[in-house]
Formats: sequence, structure tokens, C-alpha cells
Amino acid sequence: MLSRSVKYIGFVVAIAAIVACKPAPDPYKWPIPIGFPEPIVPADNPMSEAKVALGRALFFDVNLSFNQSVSCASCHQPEFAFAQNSQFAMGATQQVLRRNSQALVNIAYNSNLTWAHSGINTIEQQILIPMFAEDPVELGITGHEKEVLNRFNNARYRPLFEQAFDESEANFERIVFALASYVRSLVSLNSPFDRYAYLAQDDAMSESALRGMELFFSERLECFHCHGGFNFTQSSQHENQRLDLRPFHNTGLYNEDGVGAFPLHDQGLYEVTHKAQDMGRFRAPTLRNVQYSAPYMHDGSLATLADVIDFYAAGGRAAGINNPLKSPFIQGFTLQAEEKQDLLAFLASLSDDAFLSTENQGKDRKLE
Amino acid sequence: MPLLHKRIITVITQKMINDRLTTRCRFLHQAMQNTLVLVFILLSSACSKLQDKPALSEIKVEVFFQQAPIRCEQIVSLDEQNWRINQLAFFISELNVSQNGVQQALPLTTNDWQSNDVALLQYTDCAEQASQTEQSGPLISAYHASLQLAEPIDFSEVMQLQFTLGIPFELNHLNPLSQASPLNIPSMFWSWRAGHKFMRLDMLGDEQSWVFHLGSTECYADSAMRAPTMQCGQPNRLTFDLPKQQQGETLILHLDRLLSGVALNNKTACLMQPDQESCVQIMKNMADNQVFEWQ
Ligand code: HEC
Ligand code: HEC
Repeated sequence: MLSRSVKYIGFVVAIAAIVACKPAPDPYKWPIPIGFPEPIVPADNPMSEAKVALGRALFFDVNLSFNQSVSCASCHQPEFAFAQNSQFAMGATQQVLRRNSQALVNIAYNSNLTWAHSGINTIEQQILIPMFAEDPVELGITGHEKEVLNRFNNARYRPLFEQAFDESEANFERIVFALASYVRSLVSLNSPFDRYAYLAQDDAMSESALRGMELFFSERLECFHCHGGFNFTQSSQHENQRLDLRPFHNTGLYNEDGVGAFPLHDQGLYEVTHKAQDMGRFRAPTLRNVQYSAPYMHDGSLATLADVIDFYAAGGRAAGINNPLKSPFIQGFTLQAEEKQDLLAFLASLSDDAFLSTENQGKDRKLE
Repeated sequence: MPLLHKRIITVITQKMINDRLTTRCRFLHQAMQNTLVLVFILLSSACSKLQDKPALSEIKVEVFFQQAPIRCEQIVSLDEQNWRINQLAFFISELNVSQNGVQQALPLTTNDWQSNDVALLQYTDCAEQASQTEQSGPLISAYHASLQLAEPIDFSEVMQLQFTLGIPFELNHLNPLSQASPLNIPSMFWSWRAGHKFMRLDMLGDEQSWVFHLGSTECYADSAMRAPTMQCGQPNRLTFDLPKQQQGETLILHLDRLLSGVALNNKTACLMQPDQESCVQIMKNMADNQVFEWQ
């Protein structure tokens, strides 16, 4: 009897939903190979092709910055896996940001956003930072809200908003929702590694890359402890995996005072939690397409992947090697020259060429 | 930076929420809320009928250090050094009770922490718990300390509790992407070849860190991304058979007994390397130092 009434209630709710809202458009089709889980999407901003299309237009549009000088894509460039090939990002006022622009790869799966923040858990929250932050200025919209919005109430954008939201007028909520939908759609799960691991194609990776994979998953190198799971970051969630794991680590990059401090201008998770043990902790980023997103680390302080491997082999950098807060998985190791090449070949096997083609991700589809 | 952003975020999200509520779907929200209340009432009246006997539907699993429960982030002293749990998690499977020599399996409910009668227990960051669950929607906090039984059981007649620390071979080496939670958690998974970490204890000292990861070794497969077809040489699935000490409500992991005789430092991590002294000592403790206790 209980299950009957539950069914009945479900029925009533379904009817109510149909009556209350317009019929839902076709469900969004994720560009995800069979077998991979779908990301979790906030209930108030479901995916749709129309939102992704609007978001794509906005992402590449300099009109979103107060002085029409930069767009999201200035810092997140498709050919660099949506990162930027310079150490630090620069906003609309030429103010230099303290961090390296992050690659936007599979961020729909991230349970924590940015290099180090345990409290920013949705892309909708994150996007407010580049849009409205005043120090440092990125797009610099704060104080210019009207002016910026007016640039999107025109013949080019009105139909896009109409299709995405059934309302042709631009407002910031819709802009944020559309941008979030677009960056969420940037899914990359079609690398040689995926074909080898998940589609069981034994010849998808080179012999060298396969040897590198064994190194990556070995207790000698320990990479997989932090870059684990299908996304090579512990900070992943999806429809079947919602447990939170607080995936932040101190990798021994710095040790300013001998007892573990990172440079004052960027101390990682500690700035958010003020817990001593969070000093210098950052989120392990995905390694998918990492070959294209140099330079590396939160401050872009390692120029190449070879430098990154040397860094881990040394067990950190300079005084950072003895940082007492360093993760136990950064112990250092010795690699033969050939092994280093193998590890690089493995990292390269995580690249998804279709994802990186600009044609797929927007530039060419950018509206005139 | 965080302060400023926080302010912006609260202001703007608040505004978004307000905007959203005034849209035309408001009455739907209302309808759903009413329905939820109804479902709740129905469910709670249905359940109360089952509760005639003093049956338990969960077994709490607590971590003790020197006879007292330890809370998250609590400092414990080992070898005159301060240590803190950075992460502690372990899998329990094949849960059984026996009375008068007759064994009975205890099936587990299925939820984010339990599936296929395998449960994950995790003791990490309980201080973060409140703030995490409140704003993060689908996130589930990192602290979970009980076994939820599919059928409530009256423990008064039961004498022994048996379980395996680990995951059965058939479930241990599967594609994590197609597994239900908690068998798909990256931080508890090595690779298809080696399977899951059955127990993970990451300790952070003032100047050193130390880790213990328990799992199967000597597993043979073509590569890390391929599953073994035969049982691993050293499965390292540990079984426990515990007499009941009190009402049977609580299973205790004695951390001090687990670590007894192990010097914790940067050099003694136990990641199942062969001949690592700390591993030998821990496995010995697991075998005969009453690391688990059923109260
Ligand atoms: C001035 C350069 C710059 C601009 C413009 C910019 N970003 Fe970023 N973006 C960054 C940097 C730097 C980070 C890392 C921030 C941090 O860790 O504090 C980042 C991080 C992110 C992240 C988090 C990614 C992750 O993996 O957690 C997202 C999402 C993002 N940006 C989206 C956008 C969108 C959408 C826009 C346009 C509205 C935008 N960004 C504009 C530089 C920029
Ligand atoms: C203790 C956890 C941990 C281990 C072990 C670890 N990493 Fe990392 N990795 C991180 C974190 C955290 C970052 C980001 C650090 C920062 O931004 O300061 C990172 C960054 C990277 C980056 C740069 C990514 C980018 O987009 O900038 C690469 C490449 C990388 N790791 C590869 C590896 C390899 C290869 C190994 C094994 C040799 C390894 N990692 C081991 C945690 C870890």
C-alpha cells in the first residue's frame, strides 16, 4: 500500500510538473563515451544545447569585460586545453593575477573548484569570481553592470537568450548559467589511454606509454595516490560517486621559514580554512591534456612536464623538500633516462586531440 | 581574496535564489514540499510497526586510542611525538553473526557508503562536515561511522560477530567506473590489477608523515589497467571473529593496538612492500593484538 501511494504521489508530481512548466526540451546529450558516468549538474541549471551555445558565444566575447579588452577565452585558450601559455594570467586592467590560468578539462566532474578552495563547489559560484572580483580585476564587471548588460541586449544575443531561457533579455543570472553550461560541456574522455583502459583496445597506447603507465601506478612513483580515478584527480564526482574526499595536498614546492610556510601571497587551502595543516595544500589537477597546458602548478613555476617529473623525483623543490607538511607520497625517486621518456609518453597518451581542436570547442563556431 | 569573493558570492547567490523563487515554477516547489511531508508521514508510520523487538538496524563503528574514542583532528601521542589522523578509511564485507554455532549473514542496506554488502567506513574531517553539507548540494561529507543493516537484528542471543576487512576478489578488480559507490572511490583504489585499498590510514605528525595502505599483492595481469583472472598471491583480506562484550551496538577499532610496536616516521610507511618491517608488525597486530573489539 505504501508503494502504491508513493507511485500515486509521483504521478501527481509529474502532472504538476507538466502543467507548471513548458514541456522539457530533449535531454542534453553529453559528449561522453559509453560506460563513463555523467557529471552531477545543479538541479537549478540543467544542461541544454541552447544554454551551451549561448555560453560558448559569451565565453569568447570581450564584451563581457568592462573595457571590452578580455574574454574568458583570453585566459582559457582552447589550443592550450583552455589554459594559457604564460605563467600568470592578466585581467582587463593589466593587473597580474597571482595564479596560473587553469585548464578547463572535465571540470563538470570537479567537487572543488580553483587551485585550492574547499568552499567553491559549483561552477556557478566560481564564475562569479572572474566576472565580478575587484582585486584582482579579471573581467571587472563590478561598477559597470548596466553598461555590460546592455551589450547583450541586442539582435545577436536576444535569440540566443530566448532559446536558452525562454526570455530574450540578458541578465547576470542567465549569463552565469549559460557560461557554466558551456564550460561544463568541455568533456574530454577520448584519449589513447581511455581506449586502452576502458575500451580494452590493447594497441591503443605505445609500448613506451604502457611502460610509463606502470611507473605512474607504481608505489615507487606514487603519482596515482593523488592523481587517481578516471579524471586523474581525487577531486572528482559523478552520478554514481558523490562522496567528498577533500583532495588537497602539499607537494613541497616551498618552505619559506623552515617550518612549512608557503609564500605569503599564496598559501593555498590554508587561506580558506586557516588550519595549520592546510598550509601549502592545493588540489591535484587533472592530468588529461596536460601536455598542452604548460606552464605547470598553481603559480606556473615549472615550465615543462620534464621539469615536473624532476620536481617529483627530487621529492619537492629546494627547501620545500624538507617541508614538514609535505604529503607522505612525495618521497622522491630515481628514474633512468628511458623511464623518464616513458613517463612523458604516458602523460602524452592522456591527450584527446578531438577535444583540443578549436573547431570542436568554439572558436570557429564563435558567432560573428 | 577569499573574504571579498565570499561577499560577492553570498550577495549574488542570494539574489539568484530570490529571482528564481519568483519565477513561474514557484507553485511547483510548494507542491513538492507538501508531497515530501506526506511521504515522510507515511514512511514513519510504516516503519514504527517493525520496531516491536529491541532490534538494531545499525552497528556503530568507532575508533579508539588508549581506551577512549578519538575525534577527528585530535592529537595523539606516539613515541613522544604528536600525530593526527589525516585520513582513515576501511572496507568491511562478509558481515556475519553466529549464535550457538549457526552462522547468519547480515545483509547491508544499499546507499552511498554501502553496496553489494560491502561497506566503507571513513573518519576524516568531521569539523568540515557541517559547512560542507549545508552549501554543497550533492556532496556528502567525508565522515561515516556505522554499518547499516538491511534487516534489523536482535543481538541479545548472538554471541559472535564475523567480518572481513577488505573486499571479496570478485568485486575487487572491476572497472571502477561501472561500480556503485563506495566501490568507485579513487582514493581507495589502486588499479584494476591490485584492486582496492582495504584500509587506508594516513597520519600526519608535526614533522613527519606516515601511511599504511592494506590491499592485495602479487596480483598478475597484463598491465595496471587489466584485472587479474586468478586470485592474488597475497590477498591480504583479513577476517575477524569477535565475541560480544556488551550489547553488540558498537564495533571498535583500537588504533593504538594497530600501531603497537611500529615506529612512525617518513621511512616506515607500509604500502604493502614485501619485507617492510612496519608491514610485518601491523599484520602481526591485526592477527593477535585485538585490534577490533565488539562491544
Ligand atoms: C584574467 C584571466 C582569467 C579570466 C578572464 C578568466 N579566468 Fe577562469 N581562471 C583563471 C585563473 C587564474 C584560475 C585559477 C583561480 C584560482 O585558483 O584562484 C581560473 C579558474 C577557473 C575555473 C576553475 C577551474 C577548475 O578546474 O577548478 C573556471 C571554471 C573558470 N576559471 C572559468 C572562467 C570563465 C567562465 C571565465 C569568464 C567568465 C573565466 N574563467 C575568466 C583565469 C581567468
Ligand atoms: C601528494 C599528492 C601528489 C602526488 C603523489 C603527485 N602529485 Fe602531481 N600534483 C599534485 C598537486 C596538489 C598538484 C598541484 C600543485 C600546485 O599547484 O602547487 C600537482 C600537479 C601536477 C602537475 C601539473 C598539472 C598542472 O596542470 O599544472 C603534473 C603534470 C603532475 N602533478 C604530475 C604528477 C606525476 C607524474 C606524479 C608522480 C611522479 C605526481 N604528479 C604525483 C599532487 C600530487
